[in-house]
This record gives sequence, C-alpha cells and structure tokens, in this order.
Amino acid sequence: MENGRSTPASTPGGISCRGLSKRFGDVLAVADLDLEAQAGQITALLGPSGCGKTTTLRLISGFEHPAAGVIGLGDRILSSNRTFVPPERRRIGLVFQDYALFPHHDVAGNVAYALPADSPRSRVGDLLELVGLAGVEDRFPHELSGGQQQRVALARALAAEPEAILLDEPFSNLDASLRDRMRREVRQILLESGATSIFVTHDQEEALSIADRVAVMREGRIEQVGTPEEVYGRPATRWVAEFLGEAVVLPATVGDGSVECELGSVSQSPGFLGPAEVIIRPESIAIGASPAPGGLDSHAGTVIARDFYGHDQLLHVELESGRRIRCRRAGFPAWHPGDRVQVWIEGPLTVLRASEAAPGRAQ
Amino acid sequence: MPLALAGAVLATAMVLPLAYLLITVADSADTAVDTVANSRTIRLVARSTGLALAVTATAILIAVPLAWLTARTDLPGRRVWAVAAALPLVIPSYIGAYAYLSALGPAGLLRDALQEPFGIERLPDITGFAGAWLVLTLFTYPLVFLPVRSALRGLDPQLEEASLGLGRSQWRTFRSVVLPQLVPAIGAGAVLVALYTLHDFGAVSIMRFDSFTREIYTLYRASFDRTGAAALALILVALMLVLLWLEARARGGFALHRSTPGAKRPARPIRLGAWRVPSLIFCALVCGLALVLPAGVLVYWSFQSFAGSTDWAGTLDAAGSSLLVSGLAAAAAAVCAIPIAILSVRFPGRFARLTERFSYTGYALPGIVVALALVFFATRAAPAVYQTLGLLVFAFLVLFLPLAIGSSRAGLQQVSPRVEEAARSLGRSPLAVVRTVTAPLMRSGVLAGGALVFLTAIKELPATLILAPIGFQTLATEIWNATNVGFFERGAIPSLVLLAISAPSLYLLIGRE
Repeated sequence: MENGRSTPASTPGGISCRGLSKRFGDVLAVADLDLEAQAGQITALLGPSGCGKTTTLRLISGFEHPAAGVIGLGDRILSSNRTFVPPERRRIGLVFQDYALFPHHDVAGNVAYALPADSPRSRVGDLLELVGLAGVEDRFPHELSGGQQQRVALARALAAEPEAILLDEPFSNLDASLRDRMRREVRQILLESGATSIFVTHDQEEALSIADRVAVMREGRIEQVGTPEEVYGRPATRWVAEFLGEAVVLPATVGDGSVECELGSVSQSPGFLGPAEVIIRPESIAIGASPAPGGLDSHAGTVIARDFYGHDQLLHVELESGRRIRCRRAGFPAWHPGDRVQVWIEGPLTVLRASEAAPGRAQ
Repeated sequence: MPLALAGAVLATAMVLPLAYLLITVADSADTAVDTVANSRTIRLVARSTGLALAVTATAILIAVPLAWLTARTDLPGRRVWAVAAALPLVIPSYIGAYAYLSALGPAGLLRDALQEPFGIERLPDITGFAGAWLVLTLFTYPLVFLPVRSALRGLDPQLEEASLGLGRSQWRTFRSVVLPQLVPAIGAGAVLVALYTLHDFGAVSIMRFDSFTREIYTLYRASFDRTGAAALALILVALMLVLLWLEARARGGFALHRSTPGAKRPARPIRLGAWRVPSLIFCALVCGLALVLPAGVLVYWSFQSFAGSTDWAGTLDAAGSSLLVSGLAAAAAAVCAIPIAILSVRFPGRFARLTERFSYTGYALPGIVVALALVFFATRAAPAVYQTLGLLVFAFLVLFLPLAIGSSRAGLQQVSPRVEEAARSLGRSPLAVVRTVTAPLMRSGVLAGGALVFLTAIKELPATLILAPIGFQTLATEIWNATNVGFFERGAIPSLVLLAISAPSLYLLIGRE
C-alpha cells in the first residue's frame, strides 16, 4: 500500500436510496429508508442486529427485490418499480462477512475470476500487492488466515473495477488484535480505490473510526446521518446517543439563552423553550475533590461504584438528589466508593426536546 | 426459469411408473379386485410381512451384539471384525441365495459330500421360508450393524460412568443407559432391513419362497392379463409406504436422541474377561456364515467351472452389458440430480419440496414394481421404447435417482450461497455462476452420487429380468439363469466378477455414515 498504486475504478457515483422498503412475511425489515452515500467516500451503516442493515446492503447489491423505493448509483437507476438491474450488471463489489472466497480456486484464481476479460494477467499481482498479499498467489483459501482471506476478498472485489463496494460486517470474524490494523488498512485501500463504499457494522467504534459518514439505522429506518463527530457529539435522538456510547440523560428546562439541569446552567440556545433533556457523555463530566476551578457550576456527590479499565475508569456518582450519573476519567488518580466528590460539566452536551427523547435503554 | 422446468419434468417422469400402475389397475378394476380379493392375497401379505419381521428380528439379534463387541470392548482384532462384519452388505441377496442353495440345497455340495460315505440321499430342505430367512438375515444385518456401531461410538461415555458410579452393574448399565440411546439407530436400521426384505426378489425367488415379489413375477410371466400382477404390486407399494412412514418417524426420533456435539473423551474399552472366547466364536460364526461360506462356495464352483468349459465370452459379454447399463444409469442419475439438488437446497419452498418428494418415488417402489409399471407404460403408450436399453436405463433412473440426489444435496449444502452471490456481484450471469462456481463445487458430491448409483445398479436383478432387450444378458441375469436351471458352476465366475466390481460400494456407504 505504501507505493499507493491505486485501482482505477471507473468514475465513482454516489449511492442513493429513496423510500426503500422490504418486507419478509409480516416483518418490515426495511421501512421507507432514505440513504445517500457520497461518491468516493466511506459510509458506515450502523445499527443493532436485526435492524435491517444487511437487508439494505442486499437490496443495494441486487440480491433482494425491494417492495418499494428507488436505488440509484451515479446517474443510473438500479432499482425502481419499473427497472431492476440484476446483481451482475450493477458494478457493485461485495465483501462478505465470511469472505465467500471460491474454495476451488487459489488466491490468484479468485482475483482473476473477477478481472474483466481484456485485462492483462499482471493485474492479479498488482491487486494483491495493493492489499499487501504479494507472494501468496498459489495458496488456497483454506490455507489463509482470516485477515489474509479478507484481503483476497477485497482484492477480488476491486478486480472487477466496481463503482461501489459494499462490505458486510467485514471485521467481525477477525481477532481483536488484527481488527484495528485491518480497519486502518481497509480504509486506506478503499479510499485509494476511489470507489463509493458502504459497510455494515453493529460496532459503533468501528463505524466511528473508519467511516467518513455514519448512518445510524434503527428498525428499518435511518435515524441519523452525519460525520462520526456529529453522530457521536450531537446525537439527534436519545436512542442514537445511547446506541453510540454511554450517555448520561438529565431532565432539563430550556430558558432564554440557557439550559438548566441538575448539573447547573449551560448557555445554549437549542431553538425551543420548555421541558428538555440534556445528553452528556460520561467523559464530559469532570470530577474533583474540591469545586471546579474557574467558577464552573459544580455539585456534590458520592462515589458509589467504580469500574476500572486500566487506561480509564468509570465512576458511578450519586448526587445529593439521589440521581446517579456516570463519569469517565483517566485511570489515575484512583477514586473509591465512598469518596465525597464534586462534579461539573466539562465538554459538549446535547439538548433534546423532551418529546424527542425516544424511550431508550434504561439508565 | 430453466431450473424449475427441469425439476418439473424430472419429477413428472419419476412418478410416471406409479401413475401407470394406478391407471392400469383402475382401467380394469373388476378384474383387479377379483384377482386380489381372495384368501391367497391375505396369505401373501402374511407371508411377506412374516418374512420381513423374522429377518428384521434376527438381524437385530446379530447386529447389536456385534456392534457393541466391535465398538466398545477389548475384543481382539475388533477393527478387522468391524470391517468383516460390514462386508456382507456388498453381496447381492441372489448371490448369497445361490451360494447357500448350491451348498446346502437338495442337489448341493453338502449332499454330494455326504452321499458317498454315509449314503445320505436327502438333507433337510432349506428352500422356502427357512432359506429366505437365513439368506436375507445374513446379508442385511449390516444395515443395522453400521448405524448401531456409529451410534455406540457417538455415545457420551460419561453417562455410563455415571451409572457405574451409582453402583449399577455393567449389564444393568447397558440395559438402562446404553440400550435406550441405541433405540433410534436400531429402529432406523430395522426399517431398512424390512424394506430390503420386501424389495427383495432374488433371494426369495431362488429359495422358492412365495412372497409378493415372486408372486408378481410369476403372474406377470404366466398370464396374458397382467392386471393381477399390477394389483398385487399396488398392495406391495402400500406395505412399503407404511414402512417408510415408520422410518420417517424413527428418523425424527433420531434427532431428539442425538448426543451433544463437541470433542468427547473416547470410551474406555470394556474388558471381556471370560467372555472373550465366546465373543470371538460369535464373531467368527457370523462372518463365517455371511462371508467365508459364500465366498468359499463361489471359489469352489469357479474351480469346477475352470475344469469344465468356462464360457468366458459369455461372462465378458455380460460384464460389458452390466457396465454399460449401470454406467448409463449412473450418468443419467448424476445429471438429473443436479437441478433437483439445487432447487431443494437453494430455493426451498413448496415447489422444491414437491419436486424432491416426487423424485424419491423410486425409493418406495421395489424394482419389480417399477419394471412392471414401465412394461404397462411401454406397451400402451410408447411401443417404440419397449424392449430397448433406454427403458431399462430409465427404470434404473427411477429406482436410484434418490441416491444421487442425496449425495449431490450433501455436496451443495457445503457451498455457502454467499460464494455464488460473490460471483454474481463480480459480473457473472446466473447461468455462468452455475457453470463456474456451483457445478465445480458440487462435483465431488455429484460424482459420489453417480458412483453409488453405478454400484447399486450393477447388482439390480428384477427390473433387468423384465425390461432388458431380448438377448441382453448382464452379470446379474447370468447368475439368476444359472441358479434357476441348477448349473451352479456357471454362476460362480459372474458372481465373483460382480463382487469385485461392486465391493468399493461399501467404502462409499460407510464413508457416508
């Protein structure tokens, strides 16, 4: 990859889905879904298992027929109520969770299978070099490690010179140690290929670390789309906030130019007045033995439990009102149950209208 | 969709014989009822079911102890015994019957040996029920032995250890812990033995026991009006269906009883102690009767045949015919199994299920019934195909397609549909995907299925007898003719050739366990 020889995918177009629906029996797996994946970018489709994300991927790739809706790639219509382009003519590459390599072909054979008829045989070597697999051409899939199989799957998908690449839980079959490295490498390869990419994952860390944009999916719909920073830092709903990480949710009241909650008053204008909820990430709550420096509004509480993770610690603090909140701090200094502490807000928070706060996971 | 079309055509073709049988009987329902509705038919049912029950019971009595001895004890040479005990499966019942009749029959070797020194002119007659019972038991007990042995090997030894730890004796542990877990395997094997017995034509005919299949053949040969044979055939099919229903239930139970997967500690072999010698005698007796005696008889007769005038040209001719017709059947079955296997694995649904069911019709039909039905079909609807090789191959296809489907299905089930989708997404049309991915990956399953069909078809007797073109002799019909006219030495070399060709089928059968 260091030599940066990229795969000349044909001019990529973005993928757009509008009003997409798919029903399996009584279950509406995809419900009136709208999704835009920008040309040349990596979009993560993130959601809990069973939310319809894999079905969405299969609709885009053409292995499922939508009940309604339009799918477009660049300026081509792939699927609508009038047209249905079969999978082999969509120019969309797929990387499956289990890689789906051809067991009866060696590595070179797998990649060569995908090459357009007129391409030179040397393309196989180039592609394998691109994915960092030069030298294993004549091995068979069962002789490869998971990470190697994944690189072959990626090289094979790229060999067909697709306009878009879809990846279904591409890292879930890898060891934790290999996963981080593969995430970086796959991101690099995808970006160099220039193809529009969508990958499906249920792992929010994976989505946030690889994608240019994250589409959070829930019960067949897209709940929020944005950059990783946006969906994490400014979740559109309480459900998104809680799915993407830990969230402290406090009842609040929006006044003129400020928001009042139990941890004090923050100057912010969310654009409405009245009852609200604030969502604060535990790492945005600071803790100290004495009140906050610089006149920040701090509140007394007691540490009641502590989960120590080494690099950080999660502290469960009971405020004087009896409400429990969590705050994440560096692993040192250590706090212990029973410690009397002061807590205050030290970072961004999200204010949602109280009615927007969808019933999420229990606090 | 070409796949669905192929499936529909095949399924229709496979039910054709049964349909024609029904049509024939319905056409002259009065005659059919007259032939069938009498006490003779009832006696026939009683005789056939009686034979099936007797054979099944003795097969279980032989197979379960053998399986236990070779799987769980310190019996000396237990691996060799296990292979030897399974081997009789490759001996077609008519070769077994031929060997026994020629050795112990009224004009057999034993009488010849006893006549001069002792002046014994007559031996107890082994033809009839006793002979059929003996021969069918000896050559079908492996159908119980194999599943029971593999069930024994799959049992979790901890259960037995728990029972022993509770102070139960070895025998009570076997009865209360091991045996209940073997019931599904015994049941499945027993149904196969009963099915085999009802199917069987060779052994009962050679032993002159009037069971259904022999009676059907006699009626077919003797009279111009074949409605009676057809009516009897239908009753036999009904009997088979009852048994198959039992088998389906037994298989359902199997799933419930299967022990949990995962690596298990192998069971410690149980010490036989004083039982070692009786156990060895038992194994030797069974293998002697089922393997050594028939083999010895065949070898003896083939020496006799060498001494006389061996009809080498005839045997060679028959072997060629056997290879030809079985090879054609195997190729046809392998090809036809592919669309049905793909339909049932990749497109499960009502249509696929129906197609597969129909394709399994032959499984419920004895060879003689299929042959008879095809005679009706050919004489009424398609005289051009009557007495052609094509019709015989088609009969084999109906009879043995289920074997090929099972094997191809198993092969395809190991291929993830994602692999095919990957090929589609790489720009290949559905047909190109079948050609470049599905077919190569199914290949081993399809080939194994074809091989299984070949090895089964080469032993087939009744359909060949009825449907073969005039003058077309296979190894099986050579043996049958030789035995029928009492020229025992004539059947020996064809038998040995047949056994040599079909012996590898055991490997396939055990490999599928």
